[in-house]
Amino acid sequence: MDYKFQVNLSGIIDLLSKHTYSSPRVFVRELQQNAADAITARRHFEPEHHGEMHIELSGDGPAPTLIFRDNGIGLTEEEIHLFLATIGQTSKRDESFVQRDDFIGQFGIGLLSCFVVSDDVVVTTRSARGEGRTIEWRGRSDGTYSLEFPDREIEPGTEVRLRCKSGSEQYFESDTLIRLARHYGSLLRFPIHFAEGDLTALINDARPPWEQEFENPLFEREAYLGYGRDLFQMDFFDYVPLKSSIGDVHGVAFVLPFSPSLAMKKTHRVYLKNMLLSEQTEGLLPDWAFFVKCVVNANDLRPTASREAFYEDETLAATRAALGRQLRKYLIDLAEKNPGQLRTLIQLHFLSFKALAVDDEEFFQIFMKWLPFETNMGTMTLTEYIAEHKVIRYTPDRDQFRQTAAIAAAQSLCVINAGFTYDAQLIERVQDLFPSIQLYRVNADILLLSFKFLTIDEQDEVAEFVKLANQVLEPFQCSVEIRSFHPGDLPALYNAGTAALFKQSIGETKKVVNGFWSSVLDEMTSGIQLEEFAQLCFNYSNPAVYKIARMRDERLLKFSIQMLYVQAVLLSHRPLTSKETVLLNEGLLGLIEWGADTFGEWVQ
Amino acid sequence: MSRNEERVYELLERSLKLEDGDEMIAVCEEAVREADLSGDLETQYYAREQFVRACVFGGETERGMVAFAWLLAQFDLNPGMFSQWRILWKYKWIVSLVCDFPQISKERILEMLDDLSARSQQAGFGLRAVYTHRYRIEKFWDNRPAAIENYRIMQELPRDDLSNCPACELDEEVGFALYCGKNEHAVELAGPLLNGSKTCTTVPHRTYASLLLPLVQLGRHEEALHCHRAGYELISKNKDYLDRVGDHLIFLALTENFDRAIQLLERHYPWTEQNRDLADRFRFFRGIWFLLEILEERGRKTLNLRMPRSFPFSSIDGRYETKRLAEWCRQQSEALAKRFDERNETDFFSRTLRETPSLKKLCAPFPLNNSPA
Repeated sequence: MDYKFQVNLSGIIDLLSKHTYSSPRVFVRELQQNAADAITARRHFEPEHHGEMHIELSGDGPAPTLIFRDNGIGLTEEEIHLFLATIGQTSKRDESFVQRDDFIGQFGIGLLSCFVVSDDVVVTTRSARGEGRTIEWRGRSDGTYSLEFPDREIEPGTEVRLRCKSGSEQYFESDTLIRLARHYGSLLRFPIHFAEGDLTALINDARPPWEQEFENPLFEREAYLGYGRDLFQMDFFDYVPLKSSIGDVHGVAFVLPFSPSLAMKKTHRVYLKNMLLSEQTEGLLPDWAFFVKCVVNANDLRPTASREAFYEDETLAATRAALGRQLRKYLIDLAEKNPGQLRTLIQLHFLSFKALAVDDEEFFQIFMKWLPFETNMGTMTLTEYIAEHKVIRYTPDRDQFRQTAAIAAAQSLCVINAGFTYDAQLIERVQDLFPSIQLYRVNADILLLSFKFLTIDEQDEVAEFVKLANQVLEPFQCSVEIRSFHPGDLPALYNAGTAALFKQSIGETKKVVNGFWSSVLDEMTSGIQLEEFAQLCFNYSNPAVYKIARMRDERLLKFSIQMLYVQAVLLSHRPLTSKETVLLNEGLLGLIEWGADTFGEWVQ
Repeated sequence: MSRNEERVYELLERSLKLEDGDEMIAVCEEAVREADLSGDLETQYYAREQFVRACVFGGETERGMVAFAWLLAQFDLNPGMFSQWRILWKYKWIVSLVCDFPQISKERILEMLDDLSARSQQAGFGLRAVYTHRYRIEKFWDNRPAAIENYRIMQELPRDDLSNCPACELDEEVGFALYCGKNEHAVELAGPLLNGSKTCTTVPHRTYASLLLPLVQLGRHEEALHCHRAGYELISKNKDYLDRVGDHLIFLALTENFDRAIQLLERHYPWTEQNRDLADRFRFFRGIWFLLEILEERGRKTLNLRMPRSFPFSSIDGRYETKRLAEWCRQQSEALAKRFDERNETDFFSRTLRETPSLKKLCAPFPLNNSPA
């Protein structure tokens, strides 16, 4: 007797293959999951039962046939109707998923994924409970199915038979199948046998290292690192076994042999009850632990509907904390037992260390002194810095650092560039660790203070020059000073704070936008304090400046000031504004003309 | 390709691997600087596109807005050279944030919306996206009938490439249910956002925070706690969520998780110095004020806090008088409320602030069991 689905099955299959499942290959996962669930269910009331699963591929006929067989609990007729009902329900919901904790519902959903590679699916099953009749269900992708009760008696369990649909040939090849079955099910605890003709293979032939006992630590190390190499084709720096009773988690964290970028997605390989859940799980470890890649099996965590991550609940938070403590302990132990290795590790993963030190007082106390910081004299650890310098100078602003690095170095001042993530927060707490050390936040203004003032006589001599320079540079929102500083070959130092730079970018933008946007920008700026002018500090120790500052030819003076200004801006690595580009051209031409006018008679 | 241009594309590629936040802004800013040094218009344009994104999603709207104005101008000056959809998509971000700056006048905001509306239509898109923003703006201005009217119109318009993603649209629906006082319905609607079946870059980050108070009001503390844990995890690294931290602070104060609340206060106060979005700042200061008031009432006369050096009351030993600090935070929020209310021509912000202490009646201890990771 034939029945009709109440839903459009091909529609659902299309939906599933396009949305719920990332690729057709997941039918292998779903069928393994079904077998695992069935075996677990049978062992519930038959604890001594030895579960196993067979995957058989036979190539006779026009299309190859694939059989997945387990000796799990099997299905009764009633249960078959139940899973069909579940499939019906699935389609009525907006989301294409059901609660996965229901075994029968799960079975039905798992079966649906088979229609992505096969036009008809035959399920032969016999329940290990009840009257134990053999039942054959045959579903077709056009939405019809039939239910029969053949006379032959099979062993309790379930067999799913698929026939290759055109376009799915690659999933009916032994290489692909063995690879996929291993990918998803290598941790399953019952044997999975694969066979095609004479070819046989055991899918899950080895247990993961955390389920093994080792005679000595060297074997253990080799086993773990070898496991990591096989899985990820990567030679890891080190490994940390992981274990948490909350969430029932076991596994390993591999220490990456390269520096990951700060927010690169954490990609841990996670198994749920020994079945691969995802290779891109997030949220399992604390944020700072981005220096490791994990492989873990969890028995007590709840996956989200998309099965890409775990549901963020108390259990997950507690698990994360427990795993975090183990990684933290690993680092602290390393500090005691193997400082050399720790140094290498810090070089690779200092961002992780800094992230943890920001939030964790004890960790800060232990590791701060070993953390590297960028300075204008090269990268050095805090210990190295303190050994050379009695005072810690830092700037939390990258622009300021760029503008002042060279000049500070010329004064033998070592300045830390704390404009990177976490750095300023850490440096500002350095006195917690070294109470006697002095800490200065440096910016260009403060640096200027360290430059030598001119004597009163000298100031008188250059007063006209400074006045004129201020006039010339006023349109560029730049004020002028003159001091004496090292190095003598640098004629002038340009410095613009964040506010000044922002203001310049607004000015530049207003040149291209229409009236409406110009007023928007005006209104926006009116609410932000941006009075800051940029500064140009001429170097009185520079021979050229020394001469110019005493010159009385206003025309030549003006050109010189403009050119020195543009040069200083360029040295600060800031792009020239359009007005400055004009200035550069005019200044250069002006100087040439002036030269030609003045020395014209020599040329002729 | 010049050396500068190569560097721009290197930086932009790096930025794609980063999460929204300061690091992303810094990398894109560097790309813009290099692009300007190269002087190549296309390179400058692409670098700024990424920079606008980074600023808008990283809590530096004002800088994003300047860069956007430049993009829009170049888009108009060079017809056919740059993607129309991409500029309109960014325009939506700007429009959605412009209200948060009380220095920008009402007329200007409406004119901007009309411009977006005209440009969308010229490009052949429908107005669903525009009406979403009309609804939000009227809501912001406390003009309830107009807000509801615009929401209805938006709902009737078909979705197109310019309308928000399904996760954001659902988040909008949740927000509307809350706006209509249907807390229970809102929580139910949020289901697919909270169980992970619908997500995007800012959802469910925002959703969690918006459900904290409603869940407490419904007496569903266990779920509220979950929203705090899961939600805070998502927003704790990006200063764009300063306002949401304010919501979490209120929740922690209401459930008397004071240690955790103080930890959040210390950790996120520095954001107020970098995030110039005044609506965000208002919600954060309101949160601290509420927290400090409750602490003061519970007898915590002084507090030990680790505040940045630039903090106005910065004290050497880290001890602060709770009352004085609370008073200062109230003044900060009041000053901001006043600026918003003047621009918006309502008393919505001041009223929100005045009504905040009445939340105290919801106070009930509900401790976080496990120490957070």
